[in-house]
Amino acid sequence: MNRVAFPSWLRLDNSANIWPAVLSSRYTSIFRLTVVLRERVQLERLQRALDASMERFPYFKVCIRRGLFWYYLEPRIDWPRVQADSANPCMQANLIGKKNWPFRVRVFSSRISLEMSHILSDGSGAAVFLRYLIEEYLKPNDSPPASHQSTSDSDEWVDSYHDLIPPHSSKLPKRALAEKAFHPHGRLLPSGRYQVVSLLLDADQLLSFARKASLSLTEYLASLLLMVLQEQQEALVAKKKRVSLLKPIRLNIPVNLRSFFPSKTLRNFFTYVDPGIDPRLGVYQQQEVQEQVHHHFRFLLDPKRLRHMVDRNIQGERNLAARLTPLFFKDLFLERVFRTQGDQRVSASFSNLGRLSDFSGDQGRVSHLVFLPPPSPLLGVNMTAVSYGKQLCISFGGIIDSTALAAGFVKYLVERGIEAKIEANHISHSEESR
Amino acid sequence: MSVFCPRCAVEIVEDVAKCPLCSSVLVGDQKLLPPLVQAYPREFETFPGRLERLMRHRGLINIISAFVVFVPAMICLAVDFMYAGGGWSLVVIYTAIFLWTLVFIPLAFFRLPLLVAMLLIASAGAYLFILDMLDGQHTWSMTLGWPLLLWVALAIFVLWLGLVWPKKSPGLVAALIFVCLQIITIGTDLSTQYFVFGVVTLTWSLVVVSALMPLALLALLLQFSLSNSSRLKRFFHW
Repeated sequence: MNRVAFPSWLRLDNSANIWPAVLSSRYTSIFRLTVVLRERVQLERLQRALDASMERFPYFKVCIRRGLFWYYLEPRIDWPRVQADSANPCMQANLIGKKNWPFRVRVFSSRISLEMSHILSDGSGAAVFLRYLIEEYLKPNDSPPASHQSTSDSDEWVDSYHDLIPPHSSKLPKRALAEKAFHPHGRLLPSGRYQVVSLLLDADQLLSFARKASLSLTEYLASLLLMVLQEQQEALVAKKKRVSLLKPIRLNIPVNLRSFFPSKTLRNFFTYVDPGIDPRLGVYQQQEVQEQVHHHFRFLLDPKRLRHMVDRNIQGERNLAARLTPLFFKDLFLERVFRTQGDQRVSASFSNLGRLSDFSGDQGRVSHLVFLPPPSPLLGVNMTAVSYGKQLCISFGGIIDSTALAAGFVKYLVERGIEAKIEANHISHSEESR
Repeated sequence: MSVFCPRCAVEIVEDVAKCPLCSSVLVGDQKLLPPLVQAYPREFETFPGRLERLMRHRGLINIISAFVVFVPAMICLAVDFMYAGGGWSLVVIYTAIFLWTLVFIPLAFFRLPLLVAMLLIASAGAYLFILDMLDGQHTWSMTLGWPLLLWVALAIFVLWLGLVWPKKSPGLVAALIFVCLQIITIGTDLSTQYFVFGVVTLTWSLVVVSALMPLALLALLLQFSLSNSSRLKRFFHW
């Protein structure tokens, strides 16, 4: 273990750099992990667990500050408080400044939720933090931490993009920019509203379907999502009677780079793959979609190709002109890059956090986990999945007033005889979209 | 003994009367709480906008703006009385007061935009009248200055009516802005023609109106013909 005192400031990592530029009341960069217990949460105990977690993870006890050229993280002296939950999750827009926390722990009834900005960490990092928090909460009073290390390690806060992916001496070939993709249609909800639908399924049952198709669960769910999106696009084209509306359908699927590079960082360390289909070439059957997704994954999930994908972003950050450009102009540029080269090129994002092992001290007290994606006004609806025990939770988070994607997904599950329980938040339809 | 928050539905063991999270009065009976299967509370969280965050510092902004405006004005007043016996510095003082009202009024009434606009116009009217009366008689303020300000006030009122309408949309707002520009153009033309030539007639404003009217119609057309386009909504979302 590499123990070094936590520095007085930290650079944002390569993935985080773009987020402050695009922050708005709808682009909040916040995702959410919720642990659902079988009993009411005890508030004081949760606050104590949060205090203990902050000592263990000092690199999350920070605020995001604005420098002349880049944003940076600065340690805080105050401590975060547990906050009350609300019907609109993931919607805290004010993240920059010394008074704002880039994450928060919220509570409602039997649910403990960690809302974290992507500026701070990715889903895997947040899951480690949440595990510590929940195990601290579940453990009997005054007993030491059970299943995890109790002190922080400087390897956990390094920027692995820079440490593990050195600059190439030779110039790498440029990656072609994908065409603009189809986006689900719908009216935007009022600013600050977020529609969430979660499906609770038997993980093993769905996994058996994936295994039959010789796919991983991520590939299987991604292919189902592509099928639903294809149906939506077909319906739209039929309604508008304009074949020219047909566009490629592409997903944005984050890949945890810790599986490919030896990193212990709990900050962002991921890249994206973008499997998809092009319905302009004809209607895809499910078998074809599954093959497309499977081979796309097999082709791209190779350290050399992943390094190539990450390298483009790192080169931009290392560019001297970019480094010397004042933050205000950089924000304008990065916001444009994010829209034109990011969200416009994909139809939806899908993030699978995988199966989380049981929390120590669980003993049947934890029912399931829920993972919500960050909102995006361009993509409309995003999908996430997380498994805990025998429960798989698939969530759809959208800022359009349409649940067609979730409904289409449920239809596919019902056709296969898979039962799903549904959880959703309350969106008042009396408040019309602006 | 444990008590519960009826809003957050959490258990609290400390000896407190209200929930530390939401200040609701605590209850002892779990039957009064939302059921365990309820996934989210009913209440929405609201966030202060950029303007509201700025307005938290309005006292400081007022003091700084008063300092920036009145200190040079006082220096001018002193110099004027020392070397010229007083006279021209009055213009500086009136201008300083007018400039300060441009800062003070929006800060004081920032939640009432129509009132802010009307008070600013009234302040401008008073300033013009005082400037006009410096030589002892009014010549242009009531025949040219005030009519121009009244036309601007009318345009702002029309724009405000459109913005407070609950079913406003980007296309309608754009069309309304073009209409308001036309009102100001016509008003300016009418007022200047009457002041200079003593006749009520439209001249150059017809050219401007003929350019603005198609733009207003185009905005309306886009709004109504593409009202179902989520792409447009995304692009113009605010």
